[in-house]
Amino acid sequence: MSKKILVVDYDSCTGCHLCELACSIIHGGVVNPYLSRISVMTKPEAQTSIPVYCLQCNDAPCARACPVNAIKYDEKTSSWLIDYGRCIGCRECAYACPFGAISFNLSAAPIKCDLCGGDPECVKVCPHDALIYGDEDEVVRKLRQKKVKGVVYELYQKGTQALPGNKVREAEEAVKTLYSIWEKRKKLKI
Amino acid sequence: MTKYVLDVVLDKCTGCLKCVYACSMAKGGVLDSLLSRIDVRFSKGVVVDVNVCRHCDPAPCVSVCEFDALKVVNGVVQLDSDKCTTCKACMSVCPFGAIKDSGSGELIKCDLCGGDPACVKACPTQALIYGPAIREKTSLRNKPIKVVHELLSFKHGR
Repeated sequence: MSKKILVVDYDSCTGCHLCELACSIIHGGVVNPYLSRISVMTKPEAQTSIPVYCLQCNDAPCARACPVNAIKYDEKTSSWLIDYGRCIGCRECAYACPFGAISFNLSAAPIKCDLCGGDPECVKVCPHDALIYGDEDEVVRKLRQKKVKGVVYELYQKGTQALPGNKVREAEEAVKTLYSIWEKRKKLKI
Repeated sequence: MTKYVLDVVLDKCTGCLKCVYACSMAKGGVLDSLLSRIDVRFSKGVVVDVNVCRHCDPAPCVSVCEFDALKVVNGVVQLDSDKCTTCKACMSVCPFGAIKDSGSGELIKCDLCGGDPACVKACPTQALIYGPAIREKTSLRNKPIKVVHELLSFKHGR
């Protein structure tokens, strides 16, 4: 059985925080970004936003740090799940996590991404398809397609700026042909 | 009810031991690191851990106590020294070693100073944070994100 992963395309994320709201509604029934499993870190100067969420590490540090072995790997959804029957709320997992992906609810119990049991809500609400979930091979292919699209767009912009006068139209047409070729390739799934 | 927690941001800790002495001063009136409820642990001169009671819920020490000396009151694990027989069962079951033997016939553990911890007030670098558990998200998450933003600002030439 292939592993399913959740990845993010940082170029597409606009920092709209919709995933946070969807996550908190699905898991807690309230709209509160502080109770969300995913959190989008934004900084205006850097012109980018970074969604932080559980990356479901192999040999996870949180599971190793847990003194009561409450974090266990679930083969079915390929994710680490917290067993709340065993959890004593010592917050050791949050210290161990290198990404800060584990946060806490009002009663100080740890909360982390469980991939919604194999059907993540954050992926469904993302308006720019910045969050991609699926089989490992499929996800890599989707990411690559997005990257190619970005490169073509960049070429197009550079071409129009660098060339003067009637050369601009030629460059535009050249890039358009290139883009159409790429579209055809996408349809054929090459 | 929102649970209040004492949280350590290890990156900010300089190992000045002010919290240790503030704790022993507030609780026993003496400057003795062995009577402190909070511990700073060093390895080769570097701070590796700041150890203090996590006030677990359900707590292993509370469930193991035969004499009801340990109780969870408003999310704080409290030790009743009148009922305690110093059998040290709680010491052996605590995963962090947060309960200590004072050496004078009684056990000591953190009780968050009744909601106003002396260690937090003494900390000069704000490495110790006392507040609602939900606030911890920002304080703990700032660490990796700072690194990522530094990388990104390098990429954008700012």
